[in-house]
Amino acid sequence: MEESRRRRAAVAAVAAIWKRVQAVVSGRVALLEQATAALQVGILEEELRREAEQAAHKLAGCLGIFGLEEGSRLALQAEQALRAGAPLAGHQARRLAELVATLRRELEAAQRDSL
Amino acid sequence: MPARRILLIDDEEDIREVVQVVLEMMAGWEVFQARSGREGLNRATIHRPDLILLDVMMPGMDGPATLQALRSEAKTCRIPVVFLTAKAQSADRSRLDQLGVAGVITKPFDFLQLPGQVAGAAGWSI
Repeated sequence: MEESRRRRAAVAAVAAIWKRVQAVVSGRVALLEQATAALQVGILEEELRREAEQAAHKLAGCLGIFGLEEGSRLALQAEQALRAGAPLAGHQARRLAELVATLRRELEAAQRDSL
Repeated sequence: MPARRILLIDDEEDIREVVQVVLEMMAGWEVFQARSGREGLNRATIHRPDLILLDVMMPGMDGPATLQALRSEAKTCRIPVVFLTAKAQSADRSRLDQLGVAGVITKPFDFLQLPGQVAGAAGWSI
């Protein structure tokens, strides 16, 4: 009984944290969107690439912890695609843009569900 | 028996919040936070925790470098360390294990399972 109560309290507390961090999470996805837009017109600079890779890395970690496993998986793919020394061909850049768009939709759906 | 004391070293605030809440609420442990390897070294020296949860990938002083620094200090060299590492780096798992840590926990983790994973690595009962 006590363990069950503690679990419920922890779940509620993590849900409250999720509501608080949504703006930060959304900002990280926005950074990925900025990087993929630059990539598609061939002007992705190294600093933005590095920042987007780091944002994807953080998303891969935190989204899974908050139960967004698909979002975490998409973010991990984005991180791998943006890794230094991995130049992206045209079709790969388009694939990355689709992936980030799907990630945005996953996040928006999760945000609606948490309301 | 006094509550177990854990130092959590991770540069990501949302991860730190979740880990602290879950370990304190579900296991009744006391959790201290540090945002960087350098801050973690200072806090480990001050608080002398029973265990350190240490993120691998951090800007500046990363997890392995922080571990090396902890091992070089008399006050902190015996504190068991559990690495937190992203799934993408799990291929380095054997390398991390060889650093002599008590365990490696992969992110993302199921937060409901985290107390059990930490207790298992530390050899504690919950």
